[in-house]
Amino acid sequence: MRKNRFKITLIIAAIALALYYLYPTYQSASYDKKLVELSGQTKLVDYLQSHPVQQMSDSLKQTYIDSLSQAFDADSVNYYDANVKSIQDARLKRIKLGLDLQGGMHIVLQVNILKMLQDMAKNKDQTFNQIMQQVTSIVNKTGADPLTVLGQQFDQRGIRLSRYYGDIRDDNAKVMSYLSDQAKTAVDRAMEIVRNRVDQYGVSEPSIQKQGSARFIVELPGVSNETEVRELLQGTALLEFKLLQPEAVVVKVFQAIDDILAGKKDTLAAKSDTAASDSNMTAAQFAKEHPFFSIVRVSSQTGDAYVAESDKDKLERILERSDVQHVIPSDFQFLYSAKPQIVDQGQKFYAFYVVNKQAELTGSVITNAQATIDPTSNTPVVQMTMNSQGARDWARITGANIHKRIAIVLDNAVYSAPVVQNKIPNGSSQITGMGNMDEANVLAIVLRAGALPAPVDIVEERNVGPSLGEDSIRNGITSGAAALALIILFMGIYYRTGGVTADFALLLNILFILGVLAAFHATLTLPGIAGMILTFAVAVDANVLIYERIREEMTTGKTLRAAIDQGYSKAFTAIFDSNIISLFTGAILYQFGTGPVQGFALTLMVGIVASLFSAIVITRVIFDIMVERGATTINFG
Amino acid sequence: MRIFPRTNVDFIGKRHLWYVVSGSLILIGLITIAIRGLNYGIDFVGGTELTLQFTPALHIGEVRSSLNKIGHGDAEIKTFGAANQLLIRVKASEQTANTSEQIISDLKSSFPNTKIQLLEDNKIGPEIGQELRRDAVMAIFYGLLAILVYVSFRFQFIYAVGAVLALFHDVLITLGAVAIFGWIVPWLNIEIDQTMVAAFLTLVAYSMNDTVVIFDRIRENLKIYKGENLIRVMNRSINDTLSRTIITSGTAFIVLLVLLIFGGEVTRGFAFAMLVGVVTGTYSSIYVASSIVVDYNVYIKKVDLRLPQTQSPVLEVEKPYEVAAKRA
Repeated sequence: MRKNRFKITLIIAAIALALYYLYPTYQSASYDKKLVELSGQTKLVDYLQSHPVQQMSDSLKQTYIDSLSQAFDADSVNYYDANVKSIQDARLKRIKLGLDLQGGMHIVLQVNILKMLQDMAKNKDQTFNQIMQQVTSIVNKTGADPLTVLGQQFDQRGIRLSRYYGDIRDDNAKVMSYLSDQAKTAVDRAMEIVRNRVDQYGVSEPSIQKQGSARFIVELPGVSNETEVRELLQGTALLEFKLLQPEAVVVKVFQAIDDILAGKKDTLAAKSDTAASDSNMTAAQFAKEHPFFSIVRVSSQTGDAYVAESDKDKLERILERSDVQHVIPSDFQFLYSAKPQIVDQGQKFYAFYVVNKQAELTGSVITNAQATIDPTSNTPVVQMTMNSQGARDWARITGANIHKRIAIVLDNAVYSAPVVQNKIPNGSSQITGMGNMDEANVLAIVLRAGALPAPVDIVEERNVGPSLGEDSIRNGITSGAAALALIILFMGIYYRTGGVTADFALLLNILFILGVLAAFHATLTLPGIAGMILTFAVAVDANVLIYERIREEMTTGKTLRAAIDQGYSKAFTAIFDSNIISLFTGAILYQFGTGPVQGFALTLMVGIVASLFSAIVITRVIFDIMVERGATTINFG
Repeated sequence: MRIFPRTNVDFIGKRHLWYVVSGSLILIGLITIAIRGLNYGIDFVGGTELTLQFTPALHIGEVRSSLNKIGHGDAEIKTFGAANQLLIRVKASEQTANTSEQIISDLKSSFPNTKIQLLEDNKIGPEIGQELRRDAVMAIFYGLLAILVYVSFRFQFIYAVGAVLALFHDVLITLGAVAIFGWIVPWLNIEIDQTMVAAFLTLVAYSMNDTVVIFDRIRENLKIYKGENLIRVMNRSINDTLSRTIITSGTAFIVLLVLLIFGGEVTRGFAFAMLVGVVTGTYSSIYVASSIVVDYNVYIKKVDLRLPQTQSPVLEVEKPYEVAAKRA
């Protein structure tokens, strides 16, 4: 027992760790089940059967059914609201299912540099269109870099690039470097635009990843409306500058909403008692007295409002209520910050802005934006320049709104809301207050996104319907269970005690693989399940090699202990060499494969390591314990 | 329980016969590929592919004549999985951004009484297909290279050559089988896509695994029986590991058969290729990898490995405890 103490500790620790990482997956599955149980769909069907809908027009019928559905869904919604934090937490930590298993869209987007060059040009005329046509046909034929071809075409014709791009005084080299800079950063702009929209579209767990220099992959689980997604990804970005509503007005409206939610009719009477007693109320009491302010937290120092990520859905529902709509002025628009501003105790908070519906200015007037370090204050700043028309408007707007805040809004998400310090006469503005250089870079990208196009083409689009995903999961589970049962049965019959031990190790092996996948937030795909099933065969192979050796050693008349010793040590080189090679191939597949193939490679690699551990270490410890307990024979069949 | 008691089969002696068998199989495969071509999935050629479920089922002919109206009459249409599921494929050169929506709305208007459900929809641009094909070739190339380097490092270079030739053999035979089955049994929907490439690399790893186990035993036995005839040692080693070889291949075969039958359409190509690969991988460890090492010694190094009539081609070990003594 003593010599194995370390191994036993290791095994127990591995099991504990695997269970720890798998718990959120289990938790999330049971929450989902509960939510489906509580949801109104089944109740709705029952109700409609017992209460047939009267003759009415289709649209009216739909509204009627929608409202019924909403009423029946109340239980589910309430349960979700009550447990929102732990539901979201579990979802974040569970093993994710790949798009092939849960359904959804996988889209690869590529920045179209040709189109970008076309869109960026100003004063386009006949000559320009001819050049562009020539460039397009050359690029399509030879696959050359569009920018280089463009430069060559201009040189050939002896036309200066500055006729269409940049400032008229710039020489060709300067324009070229500007264009190539824009081409290089186009993919970042496109990604920021898409990320922003996808975040607002409300997909759970979207993924946006850069691939190479000009492409990025967008994965949207559970989404299947292709037309809508295409619009979402390819539409032109809209950048706007919107004035924030005055704080005093906003607070009054918030107060009115709070009163409605709390059920207080007399707003004036309610107002007087809040300030006095708020500070010594418990959280639960506060939430009851001030339902709105427990969601929209207004900072007493800055007056800024924040909303927890988990409360966003609830807030949307509140703002859509007709009695609440009644007290909201018609020029109010509610917007969130694009990214969470504060993270407190694992909960993300978004800034909540109330702006003028009408934009003061749109981003098309911006000519450039650059993130730099301000030499005097040594802090990151963003320099923004505008064209002459924009500069005139900007001077008027800033002049009229000194000390007020203007939100920079890209596709309805606020990226920054700086305070206007003074009138900006020439369109050249400096934005300060960024926490670090990364923030400044994102803001610069966003400002440019409003003005400079980053047109994208969809080069790959995969859409898996939800029913196919369910089929795939069922197929994967059926074949996995069938394969596992056959192997377990065979090993038990053929190698008796040894086989049962190997079977036990195999089951732990599955636990380990799933645990590792959960720990690395890996995604389980159908090929991944195939990889896992294949691992069963590999795991068994290690035990077969060992047991065949032990059998051989036993025929030479060795003691049980010596035979086991020799069996394990002699089989080791073969097991080691063959598994190293499998690991290599797994790594190569991971490197060159995409999506589903990577999923397969990952489970294969994890499976090899886990199966070596369970086949060599765990079974050995079990046999050692048996021998120490006085067993003189162990049946290896 | 023992399925295979201690055997004494002269594997290596029959190697020339099996070279002919392997060669013919590869040739048949290559001829099929030359005539029929390989069945590439849209991953590699690009195009639009959608799988639809019709309730009640529609005939392929009905669907085709409907698609003819919108200019996709020459699309590939075949049943996929269940009888009421059809796969419709439009070539990359004929696809537009919303080909799949056009097809669905066309079918919906032609068959108003049929419920049409979209199961899957893939659209791959031709440039992506090209890149994926290049990546697949690179992956297999690097896989083989890594194996060559590792095996020559762990064994001798000629063993590595034998192992890699065995892998080529397995890949070619499996490729041939994929071409033949894709042609003769079209409803199996076996075609070369990304998962198939994964299957090829996995079968390469599997075949290698099997070869290494035999080589490992040869390495060990050569140390024990120094100066013994190579053919006798090889036969002994193959016989020693035969039981393990059959059991492991057997379990892998069963697992893949289960996957082929119950795994559904998506993993079918994978399971099929692996199934063929497990058989040829097991066989090639003996008749390609080991045999080439023998023939290298016979023909290149001119080692006389002929055995006298009185000697068995398989090294016999009469008294097990003598072996034990030698091994210790």
